[in-house]
Amino acid sequence: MFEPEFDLISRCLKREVDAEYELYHRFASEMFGICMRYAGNEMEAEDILQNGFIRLFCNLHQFRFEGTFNRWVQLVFVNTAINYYRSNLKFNLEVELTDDQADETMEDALSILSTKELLAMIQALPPGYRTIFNMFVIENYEHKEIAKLLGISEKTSKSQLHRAKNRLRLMLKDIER
Amino acid sequence: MKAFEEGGADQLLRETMEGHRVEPKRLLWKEISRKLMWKELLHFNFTNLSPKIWLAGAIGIFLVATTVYFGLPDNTHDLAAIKPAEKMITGNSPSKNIPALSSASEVAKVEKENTGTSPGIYSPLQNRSVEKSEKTHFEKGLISSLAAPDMAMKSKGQLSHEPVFVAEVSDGISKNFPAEGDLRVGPTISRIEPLDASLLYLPPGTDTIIVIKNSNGIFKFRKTSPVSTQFFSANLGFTPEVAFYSEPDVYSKTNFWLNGGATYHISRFSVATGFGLGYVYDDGKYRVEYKSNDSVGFFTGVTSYTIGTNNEMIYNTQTVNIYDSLKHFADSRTKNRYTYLQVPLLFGYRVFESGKVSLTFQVGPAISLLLDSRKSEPVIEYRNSRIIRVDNDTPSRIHTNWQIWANLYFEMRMNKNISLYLEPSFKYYLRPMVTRENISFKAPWTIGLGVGIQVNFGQKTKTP
Repeated sequence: MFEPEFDLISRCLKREVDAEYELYHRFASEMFGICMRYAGNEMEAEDILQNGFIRLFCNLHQFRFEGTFNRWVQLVFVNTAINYYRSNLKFNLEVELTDDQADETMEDALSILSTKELLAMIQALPPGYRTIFNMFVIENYEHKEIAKLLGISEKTSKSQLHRAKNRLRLMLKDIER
Repeated sequence: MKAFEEGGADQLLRETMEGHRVEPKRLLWKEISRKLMWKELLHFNFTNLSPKIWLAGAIGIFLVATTVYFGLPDNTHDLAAIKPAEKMITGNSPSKNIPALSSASEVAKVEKENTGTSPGIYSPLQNRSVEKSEKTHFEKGLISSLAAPDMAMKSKGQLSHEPVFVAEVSDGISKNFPAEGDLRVGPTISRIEPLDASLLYLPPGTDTIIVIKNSNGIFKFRKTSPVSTQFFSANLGFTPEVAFYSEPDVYSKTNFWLNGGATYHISRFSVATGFGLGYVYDDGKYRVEYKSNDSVGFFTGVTSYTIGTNNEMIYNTQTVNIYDSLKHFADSRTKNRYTYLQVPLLFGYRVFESGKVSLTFQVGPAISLLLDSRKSEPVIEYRNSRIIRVDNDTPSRIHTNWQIWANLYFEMRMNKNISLYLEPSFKYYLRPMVTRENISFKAPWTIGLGVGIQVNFGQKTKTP
């Protein structure tokens, strides 16, 4: 960790408002990007962002200066987003898993989309699909970790991911038409 | 986390979405900041409370206090305004016919209709004589304490509250009421002691009657609504105190405080607030690393030699010191001065009052704010040495702290409005005053002795 960041965290721990604002300013847009991925719309994303920053400032003392601070902040926001939807997450267990045969087709379709369009597609997924899709594909969690964090089985995690990808494929097909 | 094992769509999505930034609305920070503030307030952390809120709070408290004080109905008894037909006796203004009871006074038999022990005073029933059939037994000790003490104390001018006790005696009975000190009649005389005035009080209810009967007459007292004496006082004083620290080092420091405060008194109870402005001195600790050329040994060197008379070699030697550049560590101390503001909220109860002296026990929380720090720079000079680095090991001072105060407030009245006070105090900090990474500190406690002057004003008796 570079010295200015250490200094900034120390000042935040002393509850200096200027330092808190500086930290917010440094991470706000990146974390809002994460929130937008997990949220169904901008208002929900703003709620998650607020909760995330409050959680971040209240738990800053738990950061042990092990690993990068940036990664720690990301984890705080991902966990906040998961908690935000935890009560609303509904998972359908009955699904047959198949190979992602259409992955290549999907890749071609995705490559022509802008980030904004991709974000809109992800936001259009149901909360359960969206959460697991984000955790697995973007945040790079394993199914085992997702299962533990969400309190579900690995099988459920895999099935929800499968459904999320199928839903995205359908959306892409619609766009191609 | 899983490795980047799968390629294709997942990888593309990850690369596209990872690090994607969206600028949030500007107002969001205000909302977050406001929520953080409330979180801090709930944890009694007032560090970031804006001066506007402090000012608004102070004005609010002032307005509430003023409204309460001036808004309460003022039923102060004005003895001069009482009709001449209603003969009154008070402790310190005995009428011609009805003298005040003194502590030396004694009455014979006492009877009552109702008794109790909570706040209230007595005024007599008018034009009603007590029949013998009305009598119920009344403990002599209680009636003694009920009837006499306040009157007795007031007659000596010892009580500050006026009037605490108003009594009227039925016509016909008062006529023959004897002069003060002449109440000694009858076989069963009970002494009226100047007991605690609080024992005078009876439970609410206007029907409560006390009858004091002696051969000179029957005196009936009816309980009226509670009376409380309310007034403000302001004080200014000086408090030296000793603070005791126990961890990591055991030591004590002397601090000095300039105190000012305002107290609102209602009967025996009081609420006090104010300020304590204090200077606290503490050491600044620095660890100095330096190098110097030091003697690390010596050897004996031959400077010359000569041939002796027997052809022996005679060596002339001298001791030569060996110097080397050595690293040293030293501690350097400075004197730092910290200015604190303490604002207490103390709840008091006057446990003792006699003549000009009273003793009040006060307890309550206080907030301690670090206003200013004046730190001296270390002056490090080591001869023939080179300073490599200086580390500041001084623990950081916490800006906001909470304390629990417990005081004994001895007040000595010089006159109606001016008092001197002596105030032994105990303060316990809820958090350590300093913090430093990897070092555990314990919260200190202090004992102090305050002295100062108190001004009383706005004193009045109220019967709601």
